[in-house]
Amino acid sequence: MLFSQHGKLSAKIKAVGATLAAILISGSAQAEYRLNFQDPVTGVARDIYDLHMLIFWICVAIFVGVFSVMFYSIFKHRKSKNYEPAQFSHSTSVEIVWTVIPFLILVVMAIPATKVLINMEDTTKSDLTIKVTGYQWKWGYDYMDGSDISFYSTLSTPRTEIDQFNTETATKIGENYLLETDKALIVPAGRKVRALITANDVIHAWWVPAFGVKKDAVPGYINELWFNVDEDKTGIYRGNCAELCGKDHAYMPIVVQVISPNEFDQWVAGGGQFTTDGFAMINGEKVEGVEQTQVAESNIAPTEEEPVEAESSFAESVIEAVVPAADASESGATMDELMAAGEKIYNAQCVACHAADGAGIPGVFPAITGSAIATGEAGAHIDIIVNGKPGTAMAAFGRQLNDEEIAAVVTYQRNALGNSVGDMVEAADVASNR
Amino acid sequence: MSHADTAHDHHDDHDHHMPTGFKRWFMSTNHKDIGTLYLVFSLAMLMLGGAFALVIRAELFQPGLQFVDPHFFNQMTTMHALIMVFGAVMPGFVGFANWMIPLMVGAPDMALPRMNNWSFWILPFAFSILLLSFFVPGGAPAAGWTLYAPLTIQGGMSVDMAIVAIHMMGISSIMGAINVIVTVLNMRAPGMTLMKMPMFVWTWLITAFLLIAVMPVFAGAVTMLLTDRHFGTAFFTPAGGGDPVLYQHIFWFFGHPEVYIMILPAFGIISQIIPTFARKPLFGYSSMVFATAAIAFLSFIVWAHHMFTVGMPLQGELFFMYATMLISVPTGVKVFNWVTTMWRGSMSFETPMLFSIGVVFLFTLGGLSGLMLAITPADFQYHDTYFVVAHFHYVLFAGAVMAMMGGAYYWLPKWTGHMYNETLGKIHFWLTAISFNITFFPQHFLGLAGMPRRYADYNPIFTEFNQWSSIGAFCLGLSQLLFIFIIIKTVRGGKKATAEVWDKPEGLEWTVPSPAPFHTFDTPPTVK
Repeated sequence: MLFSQHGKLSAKIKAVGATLAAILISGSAQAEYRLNFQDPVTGVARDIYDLHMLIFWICVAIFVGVFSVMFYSIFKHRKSKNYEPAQFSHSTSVEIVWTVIPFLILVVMAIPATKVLINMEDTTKSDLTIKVTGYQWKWGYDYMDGSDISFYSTLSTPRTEIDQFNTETATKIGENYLLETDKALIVPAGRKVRALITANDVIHAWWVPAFGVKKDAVPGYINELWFNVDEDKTGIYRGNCAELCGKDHAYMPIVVQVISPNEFDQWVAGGGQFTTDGFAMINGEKVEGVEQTQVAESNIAPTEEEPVEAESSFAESVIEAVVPAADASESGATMDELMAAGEKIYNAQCVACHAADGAGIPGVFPAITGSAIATGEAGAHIDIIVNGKPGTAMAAFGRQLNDEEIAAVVTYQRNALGNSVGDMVEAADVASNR
Repeated sequence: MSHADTAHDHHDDHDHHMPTGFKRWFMSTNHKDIGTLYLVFSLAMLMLGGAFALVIRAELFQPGLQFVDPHFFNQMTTMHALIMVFGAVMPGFVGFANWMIPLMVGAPDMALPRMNNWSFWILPFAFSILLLSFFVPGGAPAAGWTLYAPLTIQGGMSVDMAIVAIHMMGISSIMGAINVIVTVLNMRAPGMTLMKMPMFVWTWLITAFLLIAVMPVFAGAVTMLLTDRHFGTAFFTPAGGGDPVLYQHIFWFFGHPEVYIMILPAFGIISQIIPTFARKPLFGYSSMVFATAAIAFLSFIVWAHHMFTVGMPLQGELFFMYATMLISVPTGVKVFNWVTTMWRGSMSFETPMLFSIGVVFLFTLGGLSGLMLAITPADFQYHDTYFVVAHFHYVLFAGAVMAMMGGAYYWLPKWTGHMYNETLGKIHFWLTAISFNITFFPQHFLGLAGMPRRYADYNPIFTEFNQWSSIGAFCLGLSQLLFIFIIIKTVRGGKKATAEVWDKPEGLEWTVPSPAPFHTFDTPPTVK
């Protein structure tokens, strides 16, 4: 599938041509760009920045030194100026000099590098431990210190911004394009946070540039890193998966919201609540100083009831969006409601591999349309979604989705995307198949 | 040619009845023809790999997905690298070795001519298998050229095709390497001691040992991958008690020496060119030999610098950081020797010299960014970003590929008997050098600012430099059409080249006529 079927090639070439012309005329398409690292907000990141600049300037000095000699020679010692060639061909003393001096320069570089490295690798005496798990293609976060907060963090950039194949249906790319998630990792400033990094399927890498941390998330391994964000550097920091992990490698960003230790304690005490745009919510309110478009009100606000558990808040929001009743499973969602909720879940969780039309990618990701599982017995269908298929990219969604959500998405897959089995799977069916 | 008449007649007979057509090109045992086949193959693969790169750069021209979906994008990055590494650079250098090593050491041919034929003819089949994987369900391999497990265990049947292709390429490389070693050690002309060999021969001799040492390791890694995929083993599958990091250790034990396999012959080529155009002997010949050997040795003990973020113990990180930094010492010695060779020479700037100076300048830039990458704490930030992409294109394109281009101009008159068009050659150099820098210099900034590599899509903050890079890439790609035009034009005709071609160049290859006859050095020359 070289070119997408959605748009005409000529239209694309025209669009690119227009952009090209715009750049050539205006000189710049994007006013904003960076030449160097993001501003460091931890001590380690600052050390790395300083080390990076030190090595950089040493390299620049070496480069300028060597090539000023070479270019002097190129301009002076040329045949067109009738320069008579010398015939010297070796000098042991010169060779020794330019072996020893670079070696000494390396020692000068190695000393600070070693110091920084030893500090970076010291994960002892942490105040908080968070387990970070890489999935194709999302991150899972588990707070390990008894708070039991646990959630998944998925890209929240709308598909219409990403798919620019057809300029008519595409929407404008936003400022935090591909660097926004449905739930941010919430950490306190001024405390030493240790992250345990692992993965569930293939290798990923957890990277937050401003913290100076990057570590591979390897299935079967638990790697460690730590960061301690400066007290005055609360705010939102964004990072990426940095190890090729398959098709949607570019679509599993990391967003970290750093809040004050006091706020963090309140957030944990409140069970780890999120606003609709995915940031920390304490007592039903967003945390001060975070520029967000809107505060969550409505569907997941636990103002009158018990706080909703973090894991199920996304589920609740989906279910409540289509089922206004307080308890979707007992009220018995109608087919239309299940289908609507299922479509939403499908587009968030399944679409990356199985494609918007259910066709998958032949040979890599199986189609939903007409598949034996999606058109066969419902129990097997529920089973593969709950337990996944080991050895393939099919993840186990049993922990990520609740019974209602699985029922909705199973129903959707069986009755949309070109399938028309006609049955309706309810939450109770999922529960009995778990 | 003052031998007995019968021998003389037989010799002439041999010379004048050069096979033609199918027999000449498919059944050849002649080092020059096989060298030509390798070089043509390498050039074809360079164009194909370049075309894949242009698909990547077209998609990355703007944020959002405009042309290809991420799965196809990953196939492009994977195939671009596999084609360039195994199809363009390695066979290209084997082509130079075939043509030039016998001419440089005064041998009549490679030591094992039939094996030579076989080692070439494996390649078209290997790459056909690799390229056919585009047409199997799921398309070509998409897990990156490093084929990291467990992502490759998920892949479709294209991964198996790539594994078979890699085995075939490995067999081809090993046979080519054996041929080089046997030729160099046994077939040098009388009087040519090891320490009188041209630098190109030395660098290739060392490269050949690297190839024999590491290609089987890579074959082992991909075989384990194959058995993990199909035969129920769990070398790299954590669910079966396997270890994904083991794959990376094995891969990079091959992969780092592989880097030097791709650059040492380039060092050899420019060590031939610079003295010719500086009209001055190569400075520090013996230190150049020792530096090459030192680089080769160190290349075996630095592999894990490709995987600092994988979670090694502190001691391991320190060891690999120090060892990696050490490589810059012998590499620095080589650069200083080249500059000193130019110093107080009488330089002229024909196309091969321009390319060589370009290589020294740009390779050193890539070498220094390599030194930055060696610094482990900073590497945590550089790793898997566009900074790395910029770095390895400075050493691989501006190092290896531009050295081959320089070498092609340098020896083209010897190969074809015609002088190439100097003006066009210079235009080709400047177009290549400038568009290369437009393509890859901004990628340093992209990487530092935080753009990961192997991303089909990015935040708008990275747009500007990606656009520079894409525009540069298309200019770079189109400039190479000029290269092909110049080569074809030179093959077809042009000013007759003399035997010496250049101004009193050193080396036995310049003692035979241009074009070099089908058979040379039937009687070994004597080297003083």
